Amino acid sequence: MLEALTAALIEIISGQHLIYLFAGVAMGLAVGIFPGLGGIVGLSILLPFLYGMDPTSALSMLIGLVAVIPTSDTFTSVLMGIPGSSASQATVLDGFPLAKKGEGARALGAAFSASLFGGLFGAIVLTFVIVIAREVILLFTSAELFMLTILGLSMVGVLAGTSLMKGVLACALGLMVSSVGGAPATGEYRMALDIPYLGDGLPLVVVGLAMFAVPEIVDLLRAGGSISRSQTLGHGWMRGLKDMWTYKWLCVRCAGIGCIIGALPGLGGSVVDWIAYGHVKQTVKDSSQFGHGDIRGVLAPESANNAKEGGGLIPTLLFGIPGSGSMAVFLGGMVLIGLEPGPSMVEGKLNLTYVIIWSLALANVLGAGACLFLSKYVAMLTTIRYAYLAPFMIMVICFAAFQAQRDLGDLIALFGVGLIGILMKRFGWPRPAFLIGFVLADQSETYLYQAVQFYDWDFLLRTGVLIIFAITIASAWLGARNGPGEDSVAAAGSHPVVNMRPQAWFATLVFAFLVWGLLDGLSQSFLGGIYTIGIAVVSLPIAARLVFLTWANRTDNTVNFDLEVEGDHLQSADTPPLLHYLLWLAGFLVSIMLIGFWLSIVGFFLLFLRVKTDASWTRIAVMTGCGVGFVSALAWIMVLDFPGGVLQEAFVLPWPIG
Amino acid sequence: MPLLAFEILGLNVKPVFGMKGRGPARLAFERGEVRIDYQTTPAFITSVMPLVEAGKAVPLMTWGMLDDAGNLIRDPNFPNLPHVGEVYENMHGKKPKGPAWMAWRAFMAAGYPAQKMIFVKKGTPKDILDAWRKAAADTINEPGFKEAAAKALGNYPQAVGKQAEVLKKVATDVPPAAKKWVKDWLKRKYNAVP
Repeated sequence: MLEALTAALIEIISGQHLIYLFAGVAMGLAVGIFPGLGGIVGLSILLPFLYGMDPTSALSMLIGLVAVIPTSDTFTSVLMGIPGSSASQATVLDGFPLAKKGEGARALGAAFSASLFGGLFGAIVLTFVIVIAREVILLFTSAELFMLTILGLSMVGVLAGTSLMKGVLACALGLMVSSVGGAPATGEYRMALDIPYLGDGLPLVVVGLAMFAVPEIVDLLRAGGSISRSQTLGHGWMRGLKDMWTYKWLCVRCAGIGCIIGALPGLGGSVVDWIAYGHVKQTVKDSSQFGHGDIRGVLAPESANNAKEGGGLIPTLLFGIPGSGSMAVFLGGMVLIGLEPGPSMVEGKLNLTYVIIWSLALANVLGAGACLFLSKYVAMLTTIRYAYLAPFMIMVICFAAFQAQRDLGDLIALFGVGLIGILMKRFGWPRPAFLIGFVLADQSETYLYQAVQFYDWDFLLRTGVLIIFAITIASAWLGARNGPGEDSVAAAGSHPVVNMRPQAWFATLVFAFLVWGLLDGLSQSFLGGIYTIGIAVVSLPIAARLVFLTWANRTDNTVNFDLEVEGDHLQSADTPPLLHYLLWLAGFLVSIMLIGFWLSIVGFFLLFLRVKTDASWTRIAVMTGCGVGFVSALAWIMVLDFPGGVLQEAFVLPWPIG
Repeated sequence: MPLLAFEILGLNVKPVFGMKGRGPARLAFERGEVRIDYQTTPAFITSVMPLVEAGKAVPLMTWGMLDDAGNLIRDPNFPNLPHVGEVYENMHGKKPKGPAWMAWRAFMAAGYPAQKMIFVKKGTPKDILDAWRKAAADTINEPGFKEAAAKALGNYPQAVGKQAEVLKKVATDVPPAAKKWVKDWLKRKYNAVP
């Protein structure tokens, strides 16, 4: 082992390797900064260039890219409130409030140092563990994996916000929305309405952007002004570093969580940040500031998501089973350069494995350093008037969403789910709970079926299952102890909302959707329908109670919340109504359906900037040119056709219009 | 297809549905949850051979390969392993036949040797067709092709021209009795409605 380690280190510090690693890092930075564009997109761009490169260089480029994305995606999560990739969704919760307070630089400093720490921690753990990891991973059977998804779902209680009821329902809604499409056990189409796009279910990228980015963009536009309300950047990135040092043990714990979850094949890396966030929130003494800009809420997910990539290498290298989306493409890249994953990676090719692990660590250092250096400049974005940024943001999230299936349906789903996200935000439904349900639905269902088929219901009595069950109970108890409840009682007394009709309508819609899920489940075969039936049976009584409470106009109950009335920055008379920007988005979508994406985005840029800003036509033209030119170049590299509309069906038009 | 083979052989195997591909299935095998599993040739060579060498897995049989005349022969990658037809013969003392066997052969041809076929439109002039055939034949005779293909797919001959037509015939020319048998079997055993 030691021999392999030294051989690996010598190879890493050889010049050529470093250069390619740096190239990968630079590219990862660029991709990560754009919201929604994560490792999958980056690697897809990179793959064509890997043909014909020598294996070591190609490998270092791949690793540079994979390692740095969970670091650089923090920029948009903190500064824009838009998750840069699915790995940093939880960072938004506290990072963005910090940016709004003008402490963006501090949040970034903390996030990058935590990322760096997490990455290095992951590499160190991996160095020792990889030799024995195989046996350990094999201890986790489908039964234990199922129980782990339940542990993940139990985090909902912590993330529920003021009303546990709405938290559970949001989670149920996420589970239900996720079960649209082919059923894991039987392949029957659930709730797909015979729409081919829905047959595969809604893609996570689309749902993540719709839940977080769309509502945030709309709200920021309505509020006017810039993201940072105090026009200063908050020169606090040194303070962020100190924060990390103060909470170093917290970072150790979260990095450990990241490693473990990343290492378990099939659990999916996209819950790591939530689990770390939930863990921290339920274990600290005073959690009242979480969600309003607690620095620990930034440190936790960031140290976990970088450690995850290290952990994720274990199943990828040892079993050829990728732990996350970006690892799947990494695996593709490995095979492309003729490197076969398998047990030999820790035997004959151990030094190569160490090259991979320590390149990952080195890339983390490079990435975090570069991000720290850049953060001062990128943070300036938060002082720009948001109306200037919005078209770019909308364009980029559309582009990112469109990567999912390369189908017009991606955009329709983005705005459709985005509307749900907007309403959830307005009525105080916790969107993280929705997302956890959405992410874990598939795995929990798959592993439940497998476990039941393998062990019958006896699987519940397996030792591993019982241990994880005990952890779940402990975590739920910790969550209940200092989770929701306390602050909600205080808040309930002074609620200014008197008319609960809008909330009642939304609750009724959710109720109706769950009923539909139930009816649909009943029409399927037993294995195809039982899961959705189960969700509906558990959640419908709660939904019914919510419907009752809201229609009865119980304003004193904790469920009562309406941002339209309570939102502090939405009070001024010149704030346009919610509908205003919804119509802008709807108009954009209709335009895409009619004349295709490319022409629509040009039109949207011109029109929006002209109406919403006082920029001159020259300036507007330059901005439009830069924005559209950028996505066109990206699309050209990725050999991508933009979604077309009726126009494109009728006429053959030259790329990129047609 | 494995289930159909097990059915023909008369093995009592309880299938587990809902696996997300062969990788997770192999993992379940290594965990001891699955006791019989099947993998494609490249995955077998890279991931299962180490298990075989470590004494953790025992190879039983291959699905075999179709020769130029469409007969089932041993897989050239595993010449020491019997193919499923031989196993049947050993167990039952006669060669497999009947609608179930015909159906299995069609699935086997469609799923493996004839899985990826290059077609041109009907009525394409003969000289163009010949040019395509020659190009395909030249490609597989190109130096280095065999090695690259062996790495990606396992060591199998690529079928061009007449051989490809034989494969297509085996895969698509299925007697009605075999079709009916498969439908009845799926309905009877798995309550699946086509």
